[in-house]
Amino acid sequence: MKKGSKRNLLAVLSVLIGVAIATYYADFGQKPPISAPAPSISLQNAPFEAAAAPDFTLKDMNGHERTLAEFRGKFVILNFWASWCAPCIKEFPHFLKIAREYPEKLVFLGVSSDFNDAAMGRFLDKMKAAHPAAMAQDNVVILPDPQQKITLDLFQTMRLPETILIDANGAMRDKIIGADWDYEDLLNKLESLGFSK
Amino acid sequence: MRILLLTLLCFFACTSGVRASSGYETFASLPVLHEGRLQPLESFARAQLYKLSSHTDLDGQAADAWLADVIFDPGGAADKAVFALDNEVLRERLGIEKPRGALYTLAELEPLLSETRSEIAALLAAEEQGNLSAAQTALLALHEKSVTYLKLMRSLSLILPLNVEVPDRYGVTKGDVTFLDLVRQETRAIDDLKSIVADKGDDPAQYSAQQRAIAALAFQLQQIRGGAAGNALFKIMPLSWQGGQQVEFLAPWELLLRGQGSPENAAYLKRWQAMASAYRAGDMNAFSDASTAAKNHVRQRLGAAYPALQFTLERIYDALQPYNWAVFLYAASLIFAALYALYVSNVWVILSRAALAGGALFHAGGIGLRMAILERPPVGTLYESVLFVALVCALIGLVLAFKRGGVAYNFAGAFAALGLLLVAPTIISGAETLGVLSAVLNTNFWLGTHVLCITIGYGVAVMTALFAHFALFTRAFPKLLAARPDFDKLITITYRISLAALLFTAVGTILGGIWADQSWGRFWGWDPKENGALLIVLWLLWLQHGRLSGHIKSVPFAAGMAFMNVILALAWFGVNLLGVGLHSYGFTEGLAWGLGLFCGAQSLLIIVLWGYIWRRERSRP
Amino acid sequence: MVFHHVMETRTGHIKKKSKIQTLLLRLVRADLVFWILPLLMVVLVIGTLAQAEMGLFLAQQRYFASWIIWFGYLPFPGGHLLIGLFTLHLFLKFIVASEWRWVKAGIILSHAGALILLVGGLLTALLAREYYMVIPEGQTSPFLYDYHARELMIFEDDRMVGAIPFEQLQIGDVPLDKSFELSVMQRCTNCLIERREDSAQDFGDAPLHSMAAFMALDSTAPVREAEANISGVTLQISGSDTDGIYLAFEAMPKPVEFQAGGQAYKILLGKRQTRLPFAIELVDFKKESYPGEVMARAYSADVIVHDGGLNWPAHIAMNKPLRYQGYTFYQSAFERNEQGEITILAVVENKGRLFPYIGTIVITIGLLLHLILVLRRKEQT
Repeated sequence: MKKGSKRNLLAVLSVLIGVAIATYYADFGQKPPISAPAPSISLQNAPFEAAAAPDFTLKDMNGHERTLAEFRGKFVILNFWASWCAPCIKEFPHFLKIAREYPEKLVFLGVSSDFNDAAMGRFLDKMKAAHPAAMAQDNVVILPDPQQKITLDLFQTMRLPETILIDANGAMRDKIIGADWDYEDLLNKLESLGFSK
Repeated sequence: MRILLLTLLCFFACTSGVRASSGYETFASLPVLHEGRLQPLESFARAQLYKLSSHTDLDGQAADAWLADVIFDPGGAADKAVFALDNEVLRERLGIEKPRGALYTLAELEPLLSETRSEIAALLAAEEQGNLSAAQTALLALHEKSVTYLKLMRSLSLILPLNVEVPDRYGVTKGDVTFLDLVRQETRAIDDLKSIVADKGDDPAQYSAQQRAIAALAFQLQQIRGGAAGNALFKIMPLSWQGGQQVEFLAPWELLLRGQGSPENAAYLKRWQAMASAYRAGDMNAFSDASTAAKNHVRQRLGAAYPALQFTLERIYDALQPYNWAVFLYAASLIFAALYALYVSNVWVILSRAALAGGALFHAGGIGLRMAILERPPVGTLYESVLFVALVCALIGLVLAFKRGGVAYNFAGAFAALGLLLVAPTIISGAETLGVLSAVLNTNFWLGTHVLCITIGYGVAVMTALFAHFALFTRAFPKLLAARPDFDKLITITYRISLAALLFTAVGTILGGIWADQSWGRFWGWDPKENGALLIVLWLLWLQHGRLSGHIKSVPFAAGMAFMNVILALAWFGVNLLGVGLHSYGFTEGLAWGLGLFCGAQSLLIIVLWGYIWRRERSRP
Repeated sequence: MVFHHVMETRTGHIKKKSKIQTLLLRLVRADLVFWILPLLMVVLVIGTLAQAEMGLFLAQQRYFASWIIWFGYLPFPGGHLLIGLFTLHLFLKFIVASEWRWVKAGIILSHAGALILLVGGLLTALLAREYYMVIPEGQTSPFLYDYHARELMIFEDDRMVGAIPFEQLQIGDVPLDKSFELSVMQRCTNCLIERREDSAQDFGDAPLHSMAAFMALDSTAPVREAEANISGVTLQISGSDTDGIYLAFEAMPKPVEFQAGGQAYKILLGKRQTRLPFAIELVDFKKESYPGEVMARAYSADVIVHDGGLNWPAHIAMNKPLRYQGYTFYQSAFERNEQGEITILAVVENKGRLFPYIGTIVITIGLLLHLILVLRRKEQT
């Protein structure tokens, strides 16, 4: 065999052997690559910047004007409901319960879209009968809004129920759409927003 | 001559962007989320208008003005001519006489649409199987278009004045009432209606005037709400209840029906309402002011996420229409080069080169703008690949023209670039939309290396084929051109350019293999697109080796290189028609006919030339 | 040609060449390429067109991975034959006819690179294995599934005691060393499930158990994507506590279950399973979409690899696979059901996987070298 040919054959063989060694090393010789799960650079996980809740004024059941600002310093559960809305009725007692548990730290504002005072009155009477203590607390405030000036015009709520969780600094931290949750869920949500029991 | 040029220039400048008249400027730059990308309203309007009418403006009315008409004044929208209907069978079925290319109104199409509505489900099922006739495909497309149009019309029906009588007892102030004004009475109206029905039964004839009004109101509100379900087309409302850099946008109806309303969006929607009233009143100043207020609002909401630079670039891109300019200048370059062939004078050479350079400048500018707007390397879709290859051809022609003089390189570059640019819009069926890419393509590194390399290779291959054609022509008709180019020299040039083509296509194909290995676990999968690229490489290799070893003489070599055009077309576009494999993410409508025609014509040309040369030279002593 | 030149000047007269030498000489000549390439192109075109008809897998078997293609009675060289010859040619050319002169260095190196690529391809064709894994969120799996091979798995008291490849399940008795007997009554590569009442199959008096009672399997044309075929068999079991006719087909909701000789048996037909020496747990699957769209922008899976005592996290994303112990895991697809998301990973085991990279590097160096040399030569002249 010519000298050049021998050299070339050697070159080929050394490449093959080299690759074989490299492959073996890549397969078995390395330590497991410790890769931390890449910090999800998923842009969608950047923190949510809550907007400040707009102040508003509504008359409560006793005819007194109430504003949102007067509750600054406490967590506010702003709930839009109506007596003809079945899910609203289902979740109402949960709000009463939580308001009862934390009278100093939390306020439940139930803004009602009822156009029929009688129907709303009947529902509230039922609640008073079932949860007399809660309904009597001053951190449970029912605000009728028959023209939906606050519900629809200000907060753009068209379907009921919708609940906005406002923290002690007046920032709207989260919105719960519908009533597909229970008491535990609500408490967990509040705690994740910084509400301390 | 100069006057002709000037008028041509004016013509293009005027049509290349029927600019919105003043007042629409700010409106056109409001952000809309469409197809995964936040874009200025103008781009959205152009895309929708193109989808419906295959034009990007209507008789001098720019797309944004058209959209304003549709969303702010939907009442008249059903009588606006905006639908393109080209299919003969459907036109006959419709029965309305219109010249070809004229547009139809929704009202005119309604009889056909209602008649065929029941067929849709069956047609959709057949579409899955792939057995639809051209007429059936057109019918499905027509239905889809009408749904799109209705969605546009109803986009803002929340906040537009309704023509409805409101019963006094609801205490609604008289004047313009919108759905939002009335929806608060909906439950009450339904309640009232229930008691009316319980009292007087189902027949409205029995009702009093008030009761009829209540029934009508309840009915209309439900109609409007029903028509709005699923209307998620016009996404202008930024989501308030979500974090992250990427702000999600929803359509107004979508927003409220999904419970995503917020005080901020209530305020933003009011701005749109102000725009609507100003527009309907015909007060363009107020309209402009309201648009500005809306834009400021949304800019503040988005903060850093507002893509100010991209929007500006996109507006420039839409206004400039760089590819129209490129086409015009390339055509001019060709004309000048042709004139040189007839009257050999340096003037034509200079003009031809200048035109080519100008065209390439606009062309490159257009591609550059696309890159900046979409923030990715230039070639991500089939359409973009055509644009890029055209640019490569133009640039090769330009560089060679400057290095070697003469007009042949000019001509070849301009011819290839022009041809490809004219073909490009036919490939996609949407307007030239700046689209986002699917997950596997979404990697800037490989887009920048493999795809770019292969498309450059395609460009060089096109030029190779053109020069081979040129060589064949010269051999067949040596006395035709005044400049008398030398056949052997042309063959050498063709050979050398083909080497460059081989370099880029081979390297590009290999890079593709590496990308596939990283993505799917195998370097080579015999996928149609991979096979196509390999075919080009093998063809080049075969001809080059054949020439080197003497098996393939000059004329067959030229014919073979000229035939590369066909191979290129099949590898580039044809594989998408097969519909199999991991690479089928190109667009395919209308491609088959064009492709067949091109390949047939090209093959015929080569055979004729070759045959002619062979016959002529056989008879020579 | 370099080789001829050397031969003629070295020896005064032409040596008598042996048959092997003649053959080798023939293979080294450049015009072999001239004949192989067009044939290869023909195979490429026909094979690609065939893919639209018969799907990628079958077309690949018939045209690209074959030695001879039979068009009726006409033989035509297949992909493997042509590429094999080409590789041999390159190999011999490199060994025998590549004198290292600077002028030719670039070209020789590029050819060498191409040779390395092709050898890598050969090794891949011989050695590479492709599988897939299916892991629901929160669960761990050590199993690799074959894309195409199906087998009938027999479990005795929940222990796998036998796996019969589907190809070996022909009509008739299945040789088994168990207390019961198995017989294949009917088989289909791609099955259509019809109602028992509508079927014309007749099994005499044999009782129909479980699914066989209300379902029947009928053979239908295989689909283009070979993985999507639903294979199945109709079995007759005797010697067990519940003899009779049973059905076993892919993705059957319940396995065939019976008792025999005091033991509980299960029979399942599915894609062939292989067990990895380690296991992978899917912690979280992420699908990032473009805003407002259903089209996905990126997929990724956060996993934990459990290997003996080692547990370490890894991230598998599009275009970013996980490489471990000779296996490479790619994010391939995903599914969603009521319980959550399921990631589907494509797994490749390929000893020859480094060759394309080495080959590419060598080709690149070769081409660059050639370019530099040519430019320097042009400067000098």
